Amino acid sequence: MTDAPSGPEAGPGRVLLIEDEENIATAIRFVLGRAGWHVAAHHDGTTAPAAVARHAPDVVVLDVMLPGRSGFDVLQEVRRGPHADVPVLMLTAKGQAKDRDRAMALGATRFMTKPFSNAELAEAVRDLAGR
Amino acid sequence: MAGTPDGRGGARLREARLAAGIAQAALAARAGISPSYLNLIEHGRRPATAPLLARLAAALGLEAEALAARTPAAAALRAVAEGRLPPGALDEADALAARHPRWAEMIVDLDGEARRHARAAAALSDRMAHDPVLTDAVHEMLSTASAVRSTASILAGDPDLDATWRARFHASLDAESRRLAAGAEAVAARLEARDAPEPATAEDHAARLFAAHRHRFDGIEADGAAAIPALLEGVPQAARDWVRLRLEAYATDAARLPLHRVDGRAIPDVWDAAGGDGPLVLRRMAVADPDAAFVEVDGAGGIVAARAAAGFPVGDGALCPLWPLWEARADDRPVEARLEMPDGGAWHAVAAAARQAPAGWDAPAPRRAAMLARPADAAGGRAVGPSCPRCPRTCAARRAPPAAGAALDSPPSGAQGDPAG
Repeated sequence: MTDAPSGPEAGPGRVLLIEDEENIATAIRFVLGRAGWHVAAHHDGTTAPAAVARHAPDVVVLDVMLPGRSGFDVLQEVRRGPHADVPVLMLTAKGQAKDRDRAMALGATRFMTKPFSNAELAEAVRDLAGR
Repeated sequence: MAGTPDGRGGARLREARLAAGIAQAALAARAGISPSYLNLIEHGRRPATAPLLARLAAALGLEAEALAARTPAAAALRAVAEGRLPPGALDEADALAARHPRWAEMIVDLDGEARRHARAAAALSDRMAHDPVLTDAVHEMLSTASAVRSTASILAGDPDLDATWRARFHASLDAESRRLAAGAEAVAARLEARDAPEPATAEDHAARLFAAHRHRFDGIEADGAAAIPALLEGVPQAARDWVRLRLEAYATDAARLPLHRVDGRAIPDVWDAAGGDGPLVLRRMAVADPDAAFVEVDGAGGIVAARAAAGFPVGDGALCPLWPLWEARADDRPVEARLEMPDGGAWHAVAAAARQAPAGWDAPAPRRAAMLARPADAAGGRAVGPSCPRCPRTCAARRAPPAAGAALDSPPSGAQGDPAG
């Protein structure tokens, strides 16, 4: 499923979802795809920065716990790369203040803790794309 | 000699005189003694006979009993009540301890039990917060819950969902609900296992092994490091490297300063034999004396070895800022002091620090400080206690606990007037 796009090509924009939990990724792709987004999914931390460069998304949805490299590492590298300005929504199951602080210090645009509602997620992505 | 001020009784007389606002000379005149003699009594250097004590009490408008030397039971009871009762009520402790000694003893025991439980609860809470197994299990459950919530929400919100998607989401729900159940069982099993405290870290295993041997390994004393493999047999594989390092350090100490050069000797006699390495001397003295309390800290003040004794708690929650250990660590010199614990127990403590040679150019020179405390004959000396937030004493060096700590350790009364933040 890696990098498989979903949703109509002429939607409100492109979202790159970096999430290793397959069932969560499927649900998020469905929700965002139905809202008109073109969603590409990526499941691995090590190659995630390259995926951002390849897809040049309008919004990145990035999980913290990833195989290979953590979402924090990925975020740090993205912020130093050619798409440094892309809005990034961080997802984590550990809704602790220190994780949120770390994500924000590294340049996350918004932070959301699992479990979240589908409506919340769709709204956050729409807000980020409209920035 | 009941009713005769010793060091503390003299102090009580002085407290009572100052509380009454009477000058030393005036009280001496009223009691028919010289001011210098009263001064000696107040400082515990001269005894006062019972009739003189009665005259002094009468001159202060008090009963003679009020000036009697405080018994250890009364002192312990006062320590329990300090901070909980207004200062004026503390004097009732003396009467309670005198008239109802068994009740007084029970109150002190219950207080000790409550403090032990509070320490155990704090330690357990800290361990749970840092338990990697529990953290991972909770993360897994939240992640699974997220998948269930998103998937169920799609299914519930869209009755006309395409059959292929519907089948896919049902399969997701099935798989994720199984994961959730397994995760919940794992968390429950982990929590249940905590009813019996089990070592969580390699250092926990080391501490358990040292405690089981009462901090003395006769095998290593006799055969050196050759005895280590047998000691490691019951230690889990993951903890062995660390426990081996601890035992090797013990074996090095034993080779440098054999017990026959320590046993029954005074510290200054052993000092030279150890090349002036104070922490080494104290470590070996602690091995030789099973009744001693011992604590060793690194350069940052973190405890690297601790051994409590009955009446002398050591470890988390027991770091009195007045311990001679900190003086020795700051000044790099041996410090000897007589200590009095809140329960009235007296201890003789010796502390020393040493800096090791750096491991190489530009390498740090590790520093250690150690303190050995042994029971002393009678009360008195520098008043020390557990760490400030838990200590029943008030003293000039007291470090105020943070607001949260105060709320946990003290009754809420009196806190209402404090400005928030």
